[in-house]
Amino acid sequence: MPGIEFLIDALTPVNLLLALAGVAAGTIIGALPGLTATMGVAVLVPFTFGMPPASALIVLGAIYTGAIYGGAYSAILLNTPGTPSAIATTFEGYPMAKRGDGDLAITLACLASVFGGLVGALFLLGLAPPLAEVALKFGPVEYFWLAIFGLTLIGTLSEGNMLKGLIGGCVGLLLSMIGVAEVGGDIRYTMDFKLLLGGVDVVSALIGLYCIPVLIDLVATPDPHLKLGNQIAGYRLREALTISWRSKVNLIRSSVVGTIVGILPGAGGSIASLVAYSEARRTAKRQSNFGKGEPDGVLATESANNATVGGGLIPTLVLGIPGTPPDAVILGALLVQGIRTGPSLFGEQSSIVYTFIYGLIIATLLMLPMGLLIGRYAFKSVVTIPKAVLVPAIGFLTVIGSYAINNNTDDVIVMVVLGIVGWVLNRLGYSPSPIVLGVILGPIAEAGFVQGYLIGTARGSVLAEFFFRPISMAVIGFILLSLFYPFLIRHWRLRRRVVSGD
Amino acid sequence: MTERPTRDIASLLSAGGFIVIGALALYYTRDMTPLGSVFPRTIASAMIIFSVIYIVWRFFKPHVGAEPPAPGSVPRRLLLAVTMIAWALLLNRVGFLVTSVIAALALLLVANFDRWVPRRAIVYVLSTLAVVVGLYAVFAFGLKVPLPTGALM
Repeated sequence: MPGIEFLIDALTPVNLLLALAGVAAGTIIGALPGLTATMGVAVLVPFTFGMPPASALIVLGAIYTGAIYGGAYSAILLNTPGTPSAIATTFEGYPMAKRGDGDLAITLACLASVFGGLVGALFLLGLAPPLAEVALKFGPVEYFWLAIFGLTLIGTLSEGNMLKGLIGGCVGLLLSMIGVAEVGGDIRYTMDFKLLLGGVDVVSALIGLYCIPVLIDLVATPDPHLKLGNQIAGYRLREALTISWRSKVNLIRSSVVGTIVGILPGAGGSIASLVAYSEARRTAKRQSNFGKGEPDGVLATESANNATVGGGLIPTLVLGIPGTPPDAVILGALLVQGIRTGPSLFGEQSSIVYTFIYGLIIATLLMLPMGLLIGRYAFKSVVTIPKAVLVPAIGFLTVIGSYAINNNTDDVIVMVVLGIVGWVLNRLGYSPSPIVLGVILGPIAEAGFVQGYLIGTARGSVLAEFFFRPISMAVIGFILLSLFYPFLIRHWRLRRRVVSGD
Repeated sequence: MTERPTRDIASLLSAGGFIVIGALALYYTRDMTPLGSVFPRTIASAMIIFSVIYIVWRFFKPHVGAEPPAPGSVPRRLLLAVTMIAWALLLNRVGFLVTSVIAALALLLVANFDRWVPRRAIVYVLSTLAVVVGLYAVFAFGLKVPLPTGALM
């Protein structure tokens, strides 16, 4: 393990305090719908300019990792992912909270986030240079297939409604095309509305499609928003540790998935947590429990999305290519500090880099007490605040959150309209996740598709470009597997039952 | 006597609606450059195909997965939607703070199911105002987000 002296550098009281403050700020930012990890890091980056480079990076890393974890709070308690990475956490977290296990879900999310964050950071510490090479193997076509993989996963995860999931994904992809096209510069699907020229912002869509339907249903009945379990707002730490220990394979697998997906620039926590969730569900003994509040689902998604923090920093530090959007902001901060990223960084400026990585590990560990503490109060607040006060508070957060992304009221209008349409679609059985993922993955998919198409045309075979590259073939294989796995499993079980004469 | 499950007409209609949306999306690609239209065409076609498959599937299994009607008050739902739309539309004209205070108080009225007694009314109104003004201050002064001031504030 590289240099214990760097660990000692990271453990100075100032760095510890900065890490603690960063985690706390990040967790609160991530918990508020509309304030993403990227925004949190970007808003607070100017405060780090006067700090020593390693300390500045520790704060930013702590904010980032805290924000990714904080997204789980609103996902679990309000069915609204605080950040796009927490979309899959709503699948099991919210049903758990609905049945009175919200405190347990939050503690599980905290443990999983710490575990995933540590795995990602350890990969960054030990294997950064060789792993960064993986990112370079991905061309436009591979990114296209990866985005499609994300969408088919969400389609197949829509229990009993695969077709509706796929249609929802297409709706999201079409929404992502509104505005000025990145490739070609066409103005598409604006219907001459000026407010649509800027396109549909991902965070606005996320807030609208998740939050507004929750609000619409909250005001309809006098029933309490969430049930309070038997143990009133405790940590339920022992129970959570037992569940986590039982699911150690799931935790390790999801963290590795998160790290690897994080390494791929642009893929991000939303795909990572989906892939991890899908794997957890595929391999689970109690598959039928998924969708009804299965703790394994929360463990998978939260460990995976926090593992992308370390994973995303691998190409950022080794290649200068940001793995995730917050990494782009961190890259900017590195440049301001006069640090040149690249393979030589780990040799020439090893003291800064390793102090930062150890600082990230410490920040991740600090997330445990801090996360449990904040989580307990978040849970208590959301459960005990009367609905009449909770609704305007969430309403205000949706409005200010969607406005603050681009300082534009058009985003608020788009958010509200999408939210109302989302509620109607929800009633018709179209869940919001495929639509939001379509909006997130649309630009990645389109850029990859068009670039691949152009390269294929230039090389004389579009088909070969899309279907016969080794990594593409592997991803296509995964897509087909995810699409047909449920049918194959059903067929196989049916056959087994027939053979056994049951 | 067993109750016959309801036919999921709404889902069929929604799939029909998505076919129309897909067709419109295809139609609007006629004004786009080949580079800008290739992806929308692909996705719109995929949406039409999935919707057609869905309709065909429902033809054979008409009673599967019909959603039960949403329980609760329809007028309250409508009032919330109208309040949110008005909130979004008036931000620039009236001002962020004033619009937000009025809209938040309106939502408080819509969401309250308890009997209004003076003590409860005071606590609820003050709590709502504290949240709105507090978060406004965090964004406007802490995070320096330029919130629109409009005609009032």
